[in-house]
Amino acid sequence: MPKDNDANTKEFMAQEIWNEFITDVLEIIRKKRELEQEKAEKELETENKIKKLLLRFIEVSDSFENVFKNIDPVIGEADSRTQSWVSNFSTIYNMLQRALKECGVVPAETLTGSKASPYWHNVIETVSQSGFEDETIVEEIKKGYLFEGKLIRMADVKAVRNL
Amino acid sequence: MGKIIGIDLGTTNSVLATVGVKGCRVIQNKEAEQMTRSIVGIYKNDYLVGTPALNRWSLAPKDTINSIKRLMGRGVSDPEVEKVKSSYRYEIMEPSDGTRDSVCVKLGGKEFSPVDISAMILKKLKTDAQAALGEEVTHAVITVPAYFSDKQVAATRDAGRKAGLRVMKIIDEPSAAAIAYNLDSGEKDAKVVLVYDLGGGTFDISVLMMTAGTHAILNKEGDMWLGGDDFDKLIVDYLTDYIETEYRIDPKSDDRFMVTLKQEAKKAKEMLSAARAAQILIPGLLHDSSGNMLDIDLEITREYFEKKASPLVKRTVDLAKLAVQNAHLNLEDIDCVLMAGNATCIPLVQHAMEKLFGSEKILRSIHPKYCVAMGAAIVAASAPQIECPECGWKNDLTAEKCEKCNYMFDLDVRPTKTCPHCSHENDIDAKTCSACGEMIPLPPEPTAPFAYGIQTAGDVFNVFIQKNDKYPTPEEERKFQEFKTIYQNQRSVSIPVYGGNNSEKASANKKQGEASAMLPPNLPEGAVVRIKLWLDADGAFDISAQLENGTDLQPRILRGGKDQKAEEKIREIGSKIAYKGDGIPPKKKVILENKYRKVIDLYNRGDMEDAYAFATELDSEIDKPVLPENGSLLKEARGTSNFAKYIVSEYGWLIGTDAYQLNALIAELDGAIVKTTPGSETAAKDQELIKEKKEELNRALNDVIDDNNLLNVFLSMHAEISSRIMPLNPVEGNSLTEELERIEIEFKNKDSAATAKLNAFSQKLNNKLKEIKREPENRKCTECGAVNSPNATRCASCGANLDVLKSASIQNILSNSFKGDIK
Ligand SMILES: Nc1ncnc2c1ncn2[C@@H]1O[C@H](COP(=O)(O)OP(=O)(O)OP(=O)(O)O)[C@@H](O)[C@H]1O
Ligand SMILES: [Mg+2]
Ligand SMILES: [Zn+2]
Ligand SMILES: [Zn+2]
Ligand SMILES: [Zn+2]
Repeated sequence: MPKDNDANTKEFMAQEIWNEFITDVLEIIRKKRELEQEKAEKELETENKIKKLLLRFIEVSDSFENVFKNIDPVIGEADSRTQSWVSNFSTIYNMLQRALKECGVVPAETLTGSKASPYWHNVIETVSQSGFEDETIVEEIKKGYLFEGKLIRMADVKAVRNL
Repeated sequence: MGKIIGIDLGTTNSVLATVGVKGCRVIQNKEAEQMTRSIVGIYKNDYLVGTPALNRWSLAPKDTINSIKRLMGRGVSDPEVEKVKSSYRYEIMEPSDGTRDSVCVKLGGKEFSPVDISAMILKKLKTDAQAALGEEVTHAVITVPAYFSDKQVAATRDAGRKAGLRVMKIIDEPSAAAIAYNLDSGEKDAKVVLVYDLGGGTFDISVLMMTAGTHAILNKEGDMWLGGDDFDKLIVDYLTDYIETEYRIDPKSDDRFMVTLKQEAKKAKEMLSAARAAQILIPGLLHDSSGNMLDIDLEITREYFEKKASPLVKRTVDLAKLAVQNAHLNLEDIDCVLMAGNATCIPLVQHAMEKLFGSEKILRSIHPKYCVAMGAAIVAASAPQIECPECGWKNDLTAEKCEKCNYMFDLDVRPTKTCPHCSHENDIDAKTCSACGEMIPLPPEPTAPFAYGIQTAGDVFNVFIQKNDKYPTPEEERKFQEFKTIYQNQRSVSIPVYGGNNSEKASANKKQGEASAMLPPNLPEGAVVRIKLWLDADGAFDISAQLENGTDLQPRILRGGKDQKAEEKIREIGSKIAYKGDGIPPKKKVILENKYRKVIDLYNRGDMEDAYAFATELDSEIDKPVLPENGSLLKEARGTSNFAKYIVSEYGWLIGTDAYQLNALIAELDGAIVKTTPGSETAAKDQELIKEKKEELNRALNDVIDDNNLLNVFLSMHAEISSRIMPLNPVEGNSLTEELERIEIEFKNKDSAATAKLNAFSQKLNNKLKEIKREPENRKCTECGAVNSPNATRCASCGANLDVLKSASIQNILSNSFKGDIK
C-alpha cells in the first residue's frame, strides 16, 4: 500500500474541482443553446403575428384600390359634392398607405410588360394576346408588398398565355 | 452525419419538424411558411416547389403537378389514377419504357415518375430545412397514410433516396400522430386510439392499439376524396346562389371574381372555426347587368355553415363508427381520439367527435397540422437508426447497407462538384460549369477539402487538420491533443470524427466516421487521453490514442455495422461490469475482467465476429450467480495463515493475549503446510492435518474478531474501502485507507480524540459509500441533459453517445461555444 500519497491526493483534488467546473460549463452551454432556440422561436412567432396583422391592413388597402379603380373613369361626371366625398376617402386611403409605410410596408413595384416571376407574382388570370410573349404581365390585379425589404405578399397579376 | 428531420409528406401540404434541445418544433420553409404546398412546377429549366409553383398554376396548368401522392406506386389502370386524371390538367400516362403497373406524368415535356416528383418536393424540404437549421440534413423519417401498400411505401422511400435523404424509417401518419401525443410510452396498459385525419382532400380514420414502445393498426377506413376543400365549396356555392338571386347575374363566368371568392370562402371557413360569424367582403370587383359596381358584403354564421356542412361531417362520423365496428370494438372501447389534418379545426367536426366519444377523450394539445410531422421527428430522434426495409434490422446511421441482409441504403443522387467561379453545383465529372461556362480546375495537389477534427462533450469541434492542409499529413505534423474522460472508470471512448468548416459546433459539419477505443479499468474521472488524427495518402483520416503513461489504446475506426455492433456490445458490458461494482464478488470480477480483456483483444485485432460472440457470452455470464469455489486446500490454508499473521502484526496491540494463541495455531498450520512437497501428491494424511489446523485457526480468528468490537469495525471499514471504493477510484481509496490507518495509530497511542475521529471517519465513509451507490444511477447526457441509466451507452432521449471525451482545455470549450459573448 503506497504510504506517501500526498502529491496524488492534491492532484486528485484539483482534478475534482476542474471536473466540477467543466460539468458546469457544459451545462451552461446547453442552457444557452436552449435559450437561443427559445428566443428564436419567440421572435419567429412575434414576426408571424405582426405579418398577419399587416396583411389584414393590406387587404383593406386592396379594397380601397378596387373601389377607386371603378370610380376613377367616371368621377368627372359626378357632382361636386360626390367628388369631394370621394376625395375624402382618397385621403383616408393615403393615410392608410402612409401608416403602412411607417411600419416598413411598401408596395413592390410590378412592371407591366415584364415577365411574371414565380417568386413575386401570382398569376391568377391569363389572357391570349398575340404580339406578346407568354408570361408577360399585362395587369397588376393586386399589389405585392414588401415588409422591411422582404416580400410579405405577392402581387396577383394577369399575364399572357397564348394557346 | 448531419441533422435528422421528420417529414409529413401530404397530398396538399407537407410539414417539416425536428427535435432540438428544447423539444419538437416545426421548421419554416424559405417562403416563411409553416407548411409547403405539395406542388411542383417548372420555370426556366428549373423545378419549382410550393407556393412559387402554385403562382404559375394558371399560366401553366399542364406543367403544374399537384396531388402527386395520389399516384405514388400506382398503375395506369388504377381507378384512383383515372380520378386524378379527370380532376387535374397535367398529363398522366404509361411510362414509355414501362409497364401498365406504373404511371408517369409530363413536366416540361419530360416524363417523370411520381417518385421523381415526390423527390423534388422532398429535396426542397431538405434544402429549406438546411437553411433554417444552418446544418446539413442527412436523415429523415417520412410518414405515409396507413392504407399505403408496400409498393407505395417503397416508392416513398425511393423518393427520399432521390432527394438525398437517408430514410431511417417510414411510419404511418396515425401512428406518428399518436407518438407526438406520447401515447406510445409510459403506461403499461394498452390503449386503443382513434385517429381522425381530415386533410385538404383526403379523409383517413384509423384505430390503433398503443402499448409501451409498440403500436399496431387494428383497422382503417377513409374517403380518398373528402376533405377541407369540400367545405370551402359549400361557402362558394352559398355566395354564388345569393348573388344570382339577389342581382340576377352569374358570377361564375367572372374568373377574376371567382378567384377572390374562393380565397375569401376559405378565409371565412377558417374564421368560422374561431368566431360565430364571418364577414365576406368583396368590394369593387363585381358589376351588375347595367354596369353598376356591386359591393359584396355578406355575413355567414356558423349556424348556417354547420347546417350546410353537416352531411359532410355525418359521412366522416359514419366512417368513424364503421372503423370501430370493423375493428370488432365498441365505441366505449376507444380510450382516446386524436385529431389530425387542418380541417379538424372546424368546430362541427370537433363536436361530432365529442358527441360520439365523449369530450374527455378528445386530445388536442398539439396543432392538428403539425402532429404527424412532429411524431416523425420524435421517432427519428429517439431511434437514431436506419431500419432495413427488407429485414427490419436496425442499422447504425452511418451504415451504407444492411448489416444483416446487405440491402443497400445508398442515396440515389450523383455527387456534385462546386464551381469555383459561381458556386453552382455541377456533376462530378463535369469539366466546365453548366451555369457560367467556366472551366472547373482540378486541384493541383491533394489538400484537405475542409477541417478535420473530433467531437467532444458539448459538441465541441477539436480541429486537427485545417482546411487546405496537404495530405498525407507529414509525420512531424501529427501532434497529440489531450482530452479527458467524463466518468469514473469509463471503459471506452467513442471518438466521432467530423469534417467541415464550422469551428463552433462539431455536428454542424459532416461526420467522417467514428473511432472507438477501450480503456483499462479504474481510471479516475478526467483521466487524460491523448489523441492524434491525420490524413493518409488517400485523404482518409486515421487516428491514434494513448493514455498519459503512453499505453497505446489502439483505437479502431468503425467502418461498418458489424464493427459498430461489436463496439456497442463491448461498451455495454464494460459499463455493466464497472457499475455492478460490489454486486460482483471479487473473484468473479477478476475472471470477468480477464475475459473482458480477451474480448477487447479480439476487437483490437479486428476479429469483430468473434469479439461480438464472445462479448454476448460474457454479457450473460455477468448476471450468472457465482459457483461455489473449488480452490485448492493448500491455497486456502496459506490464505488463512497469512490473514492471521496480518491480524497479529497489525492489531497485536488491540487483541492482547489472544495474539499468543493465534501465533501458536499459525505455527502449527505452517508446520503442516511445510511438510507437504509442492507439486507432488500430498499424502491423504497430511491433507487431513492441514484441513484440521486450518479450521482450528479459522475458528480462533473468528472468535478473536467477534470478541473485539473495535477490530471488527476496523476490518469491515478496510473491506468496504478496498472492495467498493478502490475499484472505482484508487486514489480516493488510498487516501481513505491512510486516514483509517492514522486513526488506528491514535487508538494504539491511546489518544483521547481517537474515538471522535473514528466516528467522524465512519460518517464520512458511509457518505462516500452512499454516493457510490447513488452515482451509478445517472449518466447525464452532455447533449440534452437527460439522465440515463448507469449502464446506458446511448442517451435514451436524444440518442447521443454517452461515452464521449471532453476537451482538456477550458479555452477550447469556451472559445468554441461563447464566441464573443463571454468576458
Ligand atoms: N382554421 C381552420 N379551420 C378550418 N379548416 C382549416 C383551418 N385551417 C386550415 N383548414 C383547412 O385544412 C385543409 C388542409 O389540410 P391539411 O394541410 O391537413 O391537408 P394535407 O395533410 O396536405 O392533405 P391530405 O391529408 O389530404 O394529404 C384545407 O382545406 C384548409 O382550408
Ligand atoms: Mg395529412
Ligand atoms: Zn436488412
Ligand atoms: Zn460556374
Ligand atoms: Zn441526450
